[in-house]
Amino acid sequence: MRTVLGMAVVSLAAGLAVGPASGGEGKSKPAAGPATAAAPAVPGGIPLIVVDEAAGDWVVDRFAGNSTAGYAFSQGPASEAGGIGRPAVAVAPDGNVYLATGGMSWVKEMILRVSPDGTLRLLAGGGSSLADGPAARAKIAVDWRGGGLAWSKKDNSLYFAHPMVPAVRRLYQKDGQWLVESAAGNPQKPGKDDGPAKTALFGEPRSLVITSAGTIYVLDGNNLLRKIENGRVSTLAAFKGGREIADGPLDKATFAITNMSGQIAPGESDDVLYVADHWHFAARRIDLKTMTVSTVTVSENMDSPKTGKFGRPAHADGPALTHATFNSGLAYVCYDPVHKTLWVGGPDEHRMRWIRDGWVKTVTGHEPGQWRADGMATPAGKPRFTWGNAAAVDPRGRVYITTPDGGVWRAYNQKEVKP
Amino acid sequence: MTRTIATLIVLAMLPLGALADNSLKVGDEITVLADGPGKDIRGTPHVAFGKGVYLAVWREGWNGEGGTARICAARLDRQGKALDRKPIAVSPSKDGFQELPRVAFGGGVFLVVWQDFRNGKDYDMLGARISPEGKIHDTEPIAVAAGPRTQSVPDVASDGKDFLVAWQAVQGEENVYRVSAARLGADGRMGTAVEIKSPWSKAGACPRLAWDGVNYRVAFVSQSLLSAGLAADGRPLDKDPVVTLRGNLGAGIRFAHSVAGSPGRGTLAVCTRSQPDYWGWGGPGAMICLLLGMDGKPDARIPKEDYPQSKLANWLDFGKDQREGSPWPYGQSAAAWDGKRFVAVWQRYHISKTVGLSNSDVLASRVDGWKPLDGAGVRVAATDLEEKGPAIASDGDGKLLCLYEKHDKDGSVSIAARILESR
Repeated sequence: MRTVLGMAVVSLAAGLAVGPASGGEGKSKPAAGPATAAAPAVPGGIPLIVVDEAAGDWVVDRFAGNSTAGYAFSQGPASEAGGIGRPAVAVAPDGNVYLATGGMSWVKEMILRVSPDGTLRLLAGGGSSLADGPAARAKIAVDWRGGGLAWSKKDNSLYFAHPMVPAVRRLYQKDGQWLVESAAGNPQKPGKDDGPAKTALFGEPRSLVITSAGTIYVLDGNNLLRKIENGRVSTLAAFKGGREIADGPLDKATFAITNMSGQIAPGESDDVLYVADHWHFAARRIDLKTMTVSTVTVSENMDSPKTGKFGRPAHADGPALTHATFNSGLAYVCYDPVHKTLWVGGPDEHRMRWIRDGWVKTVTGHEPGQWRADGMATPAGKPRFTWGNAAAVDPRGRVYITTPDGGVWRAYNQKEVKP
Repeated sequence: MTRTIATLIVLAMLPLGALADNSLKVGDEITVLADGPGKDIRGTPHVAFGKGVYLAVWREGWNGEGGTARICAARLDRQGKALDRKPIAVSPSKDGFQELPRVAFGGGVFLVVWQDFRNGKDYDMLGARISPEGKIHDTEPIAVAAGPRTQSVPDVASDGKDFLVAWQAVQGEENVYRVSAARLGADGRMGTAVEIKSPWSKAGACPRLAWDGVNYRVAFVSQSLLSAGLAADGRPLDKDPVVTLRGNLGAGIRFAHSVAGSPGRGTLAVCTRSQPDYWGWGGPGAMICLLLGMDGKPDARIPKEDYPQSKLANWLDFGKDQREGSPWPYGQSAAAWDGKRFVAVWQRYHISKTVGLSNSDVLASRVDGWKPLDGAGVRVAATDLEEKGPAIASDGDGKLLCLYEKHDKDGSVSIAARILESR
């Protein structure tokens, strides 16, 4: 049986605030550990909201999109832009932030860029071509519901994928023109073939991670982990399904991943991936060196969402493997290399939480009514986060959050960084 | 022989109107001037009719980074035959790009309005008048709304003599969109802008305008779909806008709406319903008709929605399941008054992998008040290519011109058109 102290020790041993808190072979769902906090009169003996007092003073401001702008897409000042829906987000080292969206109602899939001066421009989309060529003609088909978007430092390109188009494609600029090409797979032909990138086939690519060396990991369908490296595609693992959660060797661990964007995320090194194991209500960590899977957090009330072992309601904080809960699955994971933490959350949490020292803690959004009010105020304080996903973190530690109510918000510790 | 005689007797007993009402005829596809400067990229068509000609307007060229999209126009006769050899550049400019054109006819001229990014920072709303002979009156565009920050999503309607223009804008230090409207004379003179206030929120967006023979009606989104009346001089008539359709959260109604006025009878509003979603919380996809009376209130006989599993009487089109290939009406629509009834056109997608939408078609139906008359719609354009973004205008005598984007598989886009005959 692990203890909370034990988890902290494991985390520190890994040199990370977030660390593998489990990892035994074929381990089933972790058992509950004793509560260590003072015992207020709440189920499980731990407050439902545990604010990370060391997190600092976080604020949230509107970054791109405007929930009052309606459904018509527009460009210009990013915080005034309409019609960008709920996009996938990728950050480039130069401060540009890329968004991929299905729009709100005109089903015009687009890739957008918000430059450091806050101007939003359309880069690709609106067309219907799946062939290589000008971005203006390209069918993009990426949005938060099931697509991958990631920046590659290796070739200064934006890579994107979506289950509707069985290929990993690349957006890049040449002689001032934005171009799209298929980097791996055939957008007209689904399959599972490994081999040279141009002849390999993909099924339903859902999520992408690109390492500092340019290796691309692809979640293909809900269960295939593919790798694109040195021009070749290989299959690393076929995830096992199963209602019971099991850690251990990658080929024996079980997953219950749903079909949304961002289900795999980069980790603290190029050899680590995090997985939003949605229907296990769990965040999982894959060590690609040892090819093993461990559970970082799992919802205490997974088996019985209304009560659980401790009777803790959905989205409660606490020790990550025993007391924390998530509402209706774990929606996202997002590793934060600046704060060395893992942002996690489920639907309808109305706040932002991360894992620090083996606990799921609330960073911001916990003040009464803070994030339920009218989402029109700016800066900060009143965003409406019905279902906010931390989608990306920039080199300055600012977190980009996508929401269904129109666009992207940005959270940051105002003592660390100014917008 | 006996059957033929019986048929003739039955036909003779029917009123003449019923005979004429039996079909919505769709003409051959016409490509509208595809040799413009847009390098095979164009979109967002709109159209108006006046003095015997249709004026089609659209965005010509790429509106993304590196693009130089401009608003172009072309005249077509009642049969859809092009009257211009080359697209008319509505407002040539060296800078920025132009988007979302809308057009109306009144006082002997067409008025085209659009959102313009020529200042390189944010949109302004500009306009230009074009004569039925194709001559541009305003070589220097009319600054309809050109203050600091964003002014976008324009629309225009006419009472037959002058125009009303509407747009959305953020102003001052706020980050909240509000809807404004102003009279614009056929002589090109701008009236004073008025703000259309939502009763429960400051915000409003995506205004759509119609003239109902007595007043203008502006329908806009503000959580729900609202509408407000304005007099011909642009003066607001209502203390508060009227709720046309209440909104849903999440995957619910998105209100990609259009409106059309009918003299003395009210305004037809057409809007879309849910996106498909994994959990089905948004309910089925549908294209909905609502008839707003002269007071702006929806016709009380329109059925109320309660997550229905079958098509309601005011629904033009319906997509009840999310299986591969199933139809799913969604997104843009348009409507016009043909002199006797409304005719609505809309997009119908098909469900593809992972609850995506693909292969949009364009459908049409005549609408009697708020009741569709053509079943699940008549196919206007329904190939395996993407046909989307419909617009429609009527000659007032039973003929209409429907425009739409036609996306080829190589990524090129043309503006296509078909004549519809509604009686």
